Amino acid sequence: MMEQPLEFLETLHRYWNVAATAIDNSAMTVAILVTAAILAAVGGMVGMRMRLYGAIVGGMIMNVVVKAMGGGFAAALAAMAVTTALAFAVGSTPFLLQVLKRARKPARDGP
Amino acid sequence: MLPEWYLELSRSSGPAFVSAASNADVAVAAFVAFAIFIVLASILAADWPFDIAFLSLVAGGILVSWSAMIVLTVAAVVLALVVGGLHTLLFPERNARISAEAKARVKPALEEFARDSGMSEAEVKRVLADDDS
Repeated sequence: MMEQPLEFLETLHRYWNVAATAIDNSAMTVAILVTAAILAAVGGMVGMRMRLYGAIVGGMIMNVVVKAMGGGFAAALAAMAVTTALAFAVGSTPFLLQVLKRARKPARDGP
Repeated sequence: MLPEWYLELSRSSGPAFVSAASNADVAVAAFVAFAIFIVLASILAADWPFDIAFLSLVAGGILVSWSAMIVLTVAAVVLALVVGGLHTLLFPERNARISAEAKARVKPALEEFARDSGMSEAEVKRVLADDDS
């Protein structure tokens, strides 16, 4: 019985690796994950339902990018599921504030 | 039964995630479901048809290729704009009520966010006043 969830996680991990290999750019992967979390955080200002919808929209961005890079349907679905889950978990108002502060920092520290 | 140009388009669009159907077939089915439920959502002013419309778009997007996904998204956005515009024209009072409810719901969160991001009270008031106009 315990093997099935583990097998599922293993499959998810394998397809996530396929998706990451297809994108072949960790900065782009992180950028999409941050974008998805921002969308979830903005949706979260309205309510939990909109936070989930924001996270799903972010996941769909990851899905289209993986497909466009030749990752295949299954890898795109796995990447979307991982992105949606991460964005839903991380995307909150404190996260948005952190992003805002980090975006402002170079401007303040700059010449 | 279906026009020849559509059959040709369906053949040339390639197989979807479910290989029994083509990308065009899945995209058209998802778009039709989205169209029906987005119109229902605006007529009934209820949440559940909007949920189904959104989920049909997501399901369609998962099943089709990236190019069909982009076409589907653009078509859905255009349709949502048209339906939203018609809703504003046909039911202006209801539209105003929904907008006011949405603003009342979001305003406290926006105020809190603006304060937490380091804005002064005057800046918060100015930004939210700009949003109202």
